[in-house]
Amino acid sequence: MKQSESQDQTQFALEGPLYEQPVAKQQPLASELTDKKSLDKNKWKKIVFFSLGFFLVLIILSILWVWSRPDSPSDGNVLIKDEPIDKIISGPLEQRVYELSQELELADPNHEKLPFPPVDMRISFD
Amino acid sequence: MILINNFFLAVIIFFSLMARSGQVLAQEEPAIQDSKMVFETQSFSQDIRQLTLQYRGELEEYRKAEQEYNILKQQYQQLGTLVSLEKAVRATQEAMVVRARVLQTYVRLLRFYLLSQAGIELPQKQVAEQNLLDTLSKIEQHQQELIEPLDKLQMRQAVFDFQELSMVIEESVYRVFSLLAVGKLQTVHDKAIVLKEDMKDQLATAGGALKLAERQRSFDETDRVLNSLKSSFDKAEAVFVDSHRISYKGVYKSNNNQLSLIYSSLSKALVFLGELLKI
Repeated sequence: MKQSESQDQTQFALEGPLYEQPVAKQQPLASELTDKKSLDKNKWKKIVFFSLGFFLVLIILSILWVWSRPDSPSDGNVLIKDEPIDKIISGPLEQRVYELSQELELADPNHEKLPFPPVDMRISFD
Repeated sequence: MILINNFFLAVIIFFSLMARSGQVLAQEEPAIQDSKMVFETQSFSQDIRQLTLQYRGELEEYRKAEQEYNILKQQYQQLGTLVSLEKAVRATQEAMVVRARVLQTYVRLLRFYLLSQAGIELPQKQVAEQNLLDTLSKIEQHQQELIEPLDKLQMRQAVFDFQELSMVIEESVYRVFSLLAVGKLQTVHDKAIVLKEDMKDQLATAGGALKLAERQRSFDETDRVLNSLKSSFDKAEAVFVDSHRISYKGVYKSNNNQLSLIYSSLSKALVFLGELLKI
């Protein structure tokens, strides 16, 4: 009986892998490598195309959204209940009152826009 | 698969966009017709702009000619020589030619102002325009007489003829002034009535019952001011129609007070309309 041999099974279990024969890992073949690379490439292509398509759709949708926005209230005669009524209806009317005031200023009878030419109507030799 | 789906989606969206743009183009067609109308109304403003530039240039030319005429006339009065006489006659003739040119351009310009002014009754406008055209041909005739070199006696005759012509020119011009003054105010009056009616329609449903009553009282007051102007306009036009007794220059001046009252009333009515929007 060999006394030196340790009876500790846990130690054996830990040292077990040291006695194992190293198994040489099989190197992948060149053809396998190229297949894998092409698969990776296709995967990236798909991702790129997908993202491009997604952005394209996003841009088109945003353009459509901008175009399909409702027209100005003056065209549609639509009143929004939440906003104060005066603000909505007095805008164009105020503008018209202002423009008419400007027109009235030009119609001032004391101010002639095209006065008689400042020429001497009595030019004479004598 | 995803790519194909995206492609079809993109195609569908593209065609929907195309259809949308087609609709937009179809909606824009009437705007082209409108722009034709705008072009027609703006054609006068282009003529007015061109003639105004021409008028300013000619007026500048006249000022120089008049200055030279004054200097040479003074020299002749001081020296009394034949040379100074000749120079003074030529300077007088030149000043008269340039003056006639200024007056011609002015009358043409005034005609365009008359034609582009709304609010004037068409028969009155036509008569005034014809009057301006007659005056224009008289000025042209006067200018033709001044083209040839004239001696002292012929110059005196030309000066005498122009004195009569100047009264004709003034009458034509003041006739147009009177019409323009009434027309401008009449246009503002008409627009104010339309604006007031639009305001009545749009403000009918705004605010509560209390505001409605207040607004109605304000509208009544504005109505009263605007309606009172109708008789004022009639008075102003009556003076203008009965002008065979007095000159148009007199009509223009006598009408000025009446028109000033109309002006201040219109100004008041517009202030009322502005206030109405805040009620």
